[in-house]
Amino acid sequence: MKISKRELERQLASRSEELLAINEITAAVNQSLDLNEILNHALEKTLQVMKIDHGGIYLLDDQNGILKIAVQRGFTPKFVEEIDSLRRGEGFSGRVVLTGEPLVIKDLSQDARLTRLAVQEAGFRSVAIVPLTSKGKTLGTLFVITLGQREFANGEINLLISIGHQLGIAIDNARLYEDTKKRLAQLAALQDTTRAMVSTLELDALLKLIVQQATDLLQANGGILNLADWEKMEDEVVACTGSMDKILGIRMGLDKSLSGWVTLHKQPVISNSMMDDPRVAQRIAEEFLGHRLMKGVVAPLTIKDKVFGTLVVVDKLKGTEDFSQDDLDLLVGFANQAATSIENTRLYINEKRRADQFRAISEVSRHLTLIMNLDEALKQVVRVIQQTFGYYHVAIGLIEGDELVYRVGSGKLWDDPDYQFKPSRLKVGEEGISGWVAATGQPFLVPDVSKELHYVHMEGSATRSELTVPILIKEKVIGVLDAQSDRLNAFDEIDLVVLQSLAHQAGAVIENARLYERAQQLAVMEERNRLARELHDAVTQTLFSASLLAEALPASWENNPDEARHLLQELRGLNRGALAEMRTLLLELRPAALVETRLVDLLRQLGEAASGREGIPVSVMIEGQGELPPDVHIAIYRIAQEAMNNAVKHARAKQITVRLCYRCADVEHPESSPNLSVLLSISDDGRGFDLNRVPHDRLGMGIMQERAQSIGAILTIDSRPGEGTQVTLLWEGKEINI
Amino acid sequence: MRIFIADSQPRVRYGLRVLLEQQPGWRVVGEAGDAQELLELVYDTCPDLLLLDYELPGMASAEILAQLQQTCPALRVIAMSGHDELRQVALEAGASSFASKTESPEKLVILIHELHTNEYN
Repeated sequence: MKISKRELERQLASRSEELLAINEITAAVNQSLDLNEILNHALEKTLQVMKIDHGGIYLLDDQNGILKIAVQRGFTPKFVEEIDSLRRGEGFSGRVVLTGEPLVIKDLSQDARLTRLAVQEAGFRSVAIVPLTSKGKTLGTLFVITLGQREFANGEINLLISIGHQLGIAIDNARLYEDTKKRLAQLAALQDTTRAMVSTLELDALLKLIVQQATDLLQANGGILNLADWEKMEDEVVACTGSMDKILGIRMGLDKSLSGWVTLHKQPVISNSMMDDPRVAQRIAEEFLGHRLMKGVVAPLTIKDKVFGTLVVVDKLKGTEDFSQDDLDLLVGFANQAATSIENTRLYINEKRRADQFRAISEVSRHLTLIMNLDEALKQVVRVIQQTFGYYHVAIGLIEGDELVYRVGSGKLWDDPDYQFKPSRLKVGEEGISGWVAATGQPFLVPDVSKELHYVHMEGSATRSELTVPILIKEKVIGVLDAQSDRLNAFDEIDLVVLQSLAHQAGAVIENARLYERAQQLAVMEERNRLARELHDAVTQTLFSASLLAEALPASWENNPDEARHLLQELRGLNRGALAEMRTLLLELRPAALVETRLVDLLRQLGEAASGREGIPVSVMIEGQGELPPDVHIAIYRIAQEAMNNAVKHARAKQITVRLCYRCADVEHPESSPNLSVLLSISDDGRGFDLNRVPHDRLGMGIMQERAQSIGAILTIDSRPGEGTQVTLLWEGKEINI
Repeated sequence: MRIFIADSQPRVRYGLRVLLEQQPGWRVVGEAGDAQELLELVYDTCPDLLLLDYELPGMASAEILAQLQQTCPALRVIAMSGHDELRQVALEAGASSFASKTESPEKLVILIHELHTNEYN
C-alpha cells in the first residue's frame, strides 16, 4: 500500500503530537505528587491528542476490589453515578482489571457484556480501555469513549497503553508517597511518645500518658491500658482516658474480655462490631461507662515474648468510621514502644526504690544518732520513710498497757489538721492489722486491705494496701511501724525486709532514748537530792538557829534587855543569811539567772550566805568593772563559791575576804588595754594546811583547777598551817561588747 | 539538868544555849563542834543530856552513840537533824529521842521536859 506524502505528514504530525502528550504526562508524573492533579492532567491530554470528548479513569480499591471513578471528562454527575463502583470483572473496565489487557469495543450497542445500560442509553458507541499497571499489578483503567462509532488505530492504542503505564507508576508513586507521609507522621508521633515516655519515670503517669497518646494517635474517643495478672488469670485496668475514663481498677478474668482474649492469644485484634463480638465484656462496659462499646482495636503489650498487658483504643472520633488495618498496625507499633518504656520504667523504679531504700536506711540511722529526744527521733523516722518511698501514710505506734498508741505519723492522714487520725489507740491483739502485729510480733503484709478481716477502716482514708512490722527491743514487742499505700499491691517482700530493718533501728532509738531519758531523770533526781542537801546544810540550819533565838527572845526581853538586843542583832544576820542562801539555791534551779546576774551581786550574795550560815564575817571588795564572756562569768562564780565553802566549813576562820578586781593585772596601762583581766582572791585567817600533805584533788581543789583551765585562767592556792589560805584566780582575755 | 551541845555550826550551838539556859534549872555545861571535841569533853563534864547533831563531822553518830554507851551509860541522848528520815536510824542506834531541826524549837524544849520528867517518875 502506497502512502501519500500528505498522509505521511499527517501521521507524522499525529505521532509527534502523541509523543508530546506522552512527554507532558511523563513530566507531570515526575513533577507532581498530587495524584488527582496527575490523573486530571493525563486524561485531559489524552482526550486532546485523540480528539475525543469523553473519557475517565477508574481506580481500584485494593481492600474491597471495587473500581471507582477518580476523574472523568464530559459526563453528567448522574451518568457518573450510573457507571461508578464496578466490581472486579464486571463490565469492560472490570474485565480489563481482571485480564490486565487493553480492550477496544467498536459497537457497544451490540455487546451483551455491557452491564451498565446507561452507557447505551446515553448513545455511546465505541470505547477503548487500557489497564493502569505498575510492577505487574493493575491499579485501575483509563478509558475513552465516543458517541459515534470510531476506529482506534494501533498507534492510538499503543499511546493509551503507554499512558496507562505512566499513570500506573504515578499512582504507585503517589500511594507510596502517601504511605510514606503517613508512616512519617506515625513515626513522628511515636517519637514524640517515646520521648515523653522515656522522660516519664513515674509508672502511673507513664501508663496514663501511653493510653492517652495511643488514643490521640488513632484519633479515637477513649482507651485503656490493662496489666495482666497471670497468677490469677485476670487483667486490671491501670490507666484509662476519654470515653473509657471510669473503669480504673476493674479486674476481669482473661477469659471474659476482648483484652483478655488478646492477652491469651498474643494477637492484636480489630473489632468493628463489638456489639456482636462475644469476646467483648459489654455488660461491664454498660455498668461502668453507661454506654455500649462500638468499635475497638486491641494490641498486646509484650516483653521478651511474654504478654504483660494490653492497649485498647475504642471508637473513632469520626463517629461511624471503622478502625483500619493501618490503625491496628500503628497501635501494634506503638504498643511495642510502650511495652519497652513500661519495662524500662519498671526497672528504673525498682532500681530507684532499692537506692531509696538504702538511702532511707542510712538517713534514718544518721538522724537517729543525732537526736536523743524520743518523740523528735520517731517523728524523723516516719518522715524520712514516708517521703523517701512516697507512701500514703507512715506511723509508729507504741504499746502502752494493753493498747497500741500512735505517737507519731507522717503523710496526709496525719498532717491534715481537719483529719482526726482515728483510731489513734488500738487494742493489742484485737483491733487492726497493727494490733495483730503488736500481739504476735510478726510482720503483716496486706496487698488489699478490703479483703483483710483484721483491717480497721479509717474514715476518709484512701488506704488500699498496708505493711506493718513489729518494733522489738530484746525480742519484746514494744510497738509497730506501719506503712500504708493508696495503691493495691504496693508492698513486696523486699519492702518488708527494708521496713523491718528500719523498725529495728527505730527500736534501738527508742531503747536509747528511754535509757537516755532514764539517765536524765536520774541526773535530775541527783540534782534534786543535792539541792535538798544544800537546803538542809544551809537554809535549815540557819533558820533553825534563827528560830532558837526567836524562841528565846521574849523571856530574854523581860530579864536581860542587853542580851535581847544582841539576840536581835544576831537574828537579823541569820535571816539575811537565810535569804542569801535561798537566792543562791534558786540560781542553781535556774542556771540562766546565773549568767544574767552581775558577778558583783553574785559574790556579795555568796558572802552574805556564808556569813549568815557560819557566823563568819565575809567582806566582799570589788574594783573596776567589765563584761565577761558567760563561761568565764560562771567559772569565776563557781570557783569563788567553792573557795568560800572551804573557808567557812574547814578553815575555822574568823574573817574571810573576797576581792574581785578588773584590770588589776595590767598595771602599766590599765585603761588603754583592749584586753580585760580579772583577778579574784578569797583569803581567810583560818588554820591553813600543808599544801604538800593535802592531795590536790581534795577540798574541791581538783574541780577548781579544772574550771580555771576550761577558761584559760591561772589558779593558785597559797596556804600554810596556822597562817590561813589564799586562793587566787587570774583570767586575761577580751572583753565582750554588748 | 546539865546539858551538852554537839553541833558543827556555832550559830546553832549559840541559839540552843540561849534558849535552854532560859529554862529554870537547866544549864549548858559544854559544847563541841565535832566528834573528837565531843568525846574529849563529855567525860569531863558528865552531863545528864546530850543534844547530838546526827551529822556531826568526824565520826559516824552511831559509832559515837556506841562509845558513849560504854563510857557514860546513864547519859540520855537527843539526836537532832534536818533530815527527818534519820529519826528511825538514830533511835535504833541508841538515841533516847529525836528532834527535827525543821520543827519549832518549842517542841525540842517540850521533848527535853518529857524526857526529864520520865527520868524522875
